[in-house]
Amino acid sequence: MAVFTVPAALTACSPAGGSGADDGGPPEPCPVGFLGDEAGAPDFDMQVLEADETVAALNDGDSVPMILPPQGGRVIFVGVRATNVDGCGLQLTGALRDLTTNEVRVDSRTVNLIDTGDGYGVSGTPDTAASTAIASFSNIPVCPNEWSPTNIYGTLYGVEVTIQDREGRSLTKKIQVTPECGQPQYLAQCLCICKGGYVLGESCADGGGE
Amino acid sequence: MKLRAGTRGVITLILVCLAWIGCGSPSKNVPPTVVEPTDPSQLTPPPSGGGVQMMTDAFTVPAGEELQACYFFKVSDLLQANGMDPTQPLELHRIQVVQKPGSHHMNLFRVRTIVNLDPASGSPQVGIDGMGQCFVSSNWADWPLVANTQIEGDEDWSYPDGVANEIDPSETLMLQTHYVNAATQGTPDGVGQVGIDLYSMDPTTVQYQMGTIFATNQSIRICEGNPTPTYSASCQINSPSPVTIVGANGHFHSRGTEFDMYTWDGMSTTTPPESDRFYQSLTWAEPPMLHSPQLEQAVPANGGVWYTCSYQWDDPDTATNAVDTCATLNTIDANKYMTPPAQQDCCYTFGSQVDVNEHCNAFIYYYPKQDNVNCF
Repeated sequence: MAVFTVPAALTACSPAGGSGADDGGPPEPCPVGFLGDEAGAPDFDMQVLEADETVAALNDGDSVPMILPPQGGRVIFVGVRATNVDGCGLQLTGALRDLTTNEVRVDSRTVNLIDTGDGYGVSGTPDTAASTAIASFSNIPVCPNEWSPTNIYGTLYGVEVTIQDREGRSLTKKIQVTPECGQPQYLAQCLCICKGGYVLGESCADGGGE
Repeated sequence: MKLRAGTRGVITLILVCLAWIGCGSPSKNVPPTVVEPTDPSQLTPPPSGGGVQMMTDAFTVPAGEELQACYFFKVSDLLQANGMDPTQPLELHRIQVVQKPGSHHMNLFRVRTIVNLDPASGSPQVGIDGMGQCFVSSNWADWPLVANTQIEGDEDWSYPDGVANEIDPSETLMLQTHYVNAATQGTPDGVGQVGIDLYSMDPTTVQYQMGTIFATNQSIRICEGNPTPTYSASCQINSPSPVTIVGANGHFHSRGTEFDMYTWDGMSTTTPPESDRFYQSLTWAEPPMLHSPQLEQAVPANGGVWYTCSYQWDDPDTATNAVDTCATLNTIDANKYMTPPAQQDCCYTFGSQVDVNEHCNAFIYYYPKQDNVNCF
């Protein structure tokens, strides 16, 4: 499902590339500028950062990896391939929703997309260092699982992604995915801290999962 | 005007002196005045049987350095040292923390899974300038928060009547103290020290347990090309009944311009309305610590907290008087995050070092407890 809005005033008169030296303002530190057609409706496809640090398209019904981020826990990294939006200072919001309780975990952040030269901008490209790229993906914090009564892994959840650019163009899309523990080397801990009913600090020495 | 804790202590001391001078001598009619301690050495331990005290060494923080020390305390030892039964839990009801000036933060955690920061390896374990296991946050990823403060001088908080945070004698606590004597934050005396008093309450009068939340927004980057980012995240308390937030403070570094916390319904994916905001910090170095009775904020059943950090990138060359430059930040980005030169953008990256890293951490205290919660 997708919901988008385009402020009417923008469709005719928004400056391409945003403010910058050309209009007498300070130099625009973000070189991306506008992506696609300013009169067009914003659009995007979802991306996901895989456990092998590659970037893949994310579609309805897919599995998504839960990955160990710098501070601990598990995160799902969801990005976008977007067009007809300002690629600078884009607010990217990602959420994982429990389809039974309707509760969500949310991460929202301001990102600059990478211009791919075809009217689109992306959160990550194959040549982007993964540890750098994760800052341009929504880091949806899903574990430790102290919020969802079911095991996060192997269960169908909703992913909701919203983009909103600096001029207010916005679009939301929703799909359903199945999270999985994405890194075999950390499988036991993932199964433990992502299970339903996990209690913070409980021993995961034996994996603790099911 | 909000006075810093240390300033409040000095004013209290002056008032006591004026009372003495005005009366000519102490009088039976002048009630004793409690002077807020401004230095850990002035912190009086709880009376025997009434709680425990934890005290760090007075340690040197050399100019140009950041020091983070992890002290470990076995609770049964603390109980025994102050005339308490070492087999019975401590029902923590009042906490008093006194820090020497220059403290960046003090966090108190319950030790759980041991990764690379092992109490058995000794206490304290000290990290310098981001190096050492006491700086590696993944080491305490599942260690529940007990208490924290970011202000110098005295922080003294009694929980609401009937509320306690039970600490079992079998537990080990980690007192983590971070002092900075660098460009964007200094340690005036070059010496750091922290003292903590944990006062107990009668276990038969405990009505509610207190729960804590430690939330961190990870993978943040404040870059020249994306100079005013905002990061938001959510954290559930997972309670089938409403709970009450009674303590909160936010933590970021000098690029931080605004830290907001809101009560949240657990289901929305947008920032809650302003009417639900219960915390705001506009000062990174001495962020306000809100607590009861001034802060008592209801959270709906199955709700939680939404927190937002906003930043303004600044030129490290200017901010640190050329101690650090964009080249410094880019080198850190390359070494820590393997960012290739073409993607380096003078970014302050996620981490503990005040001059070159950024944080977005929320510390929250609530009751009745459902669980201690960490959100990463």
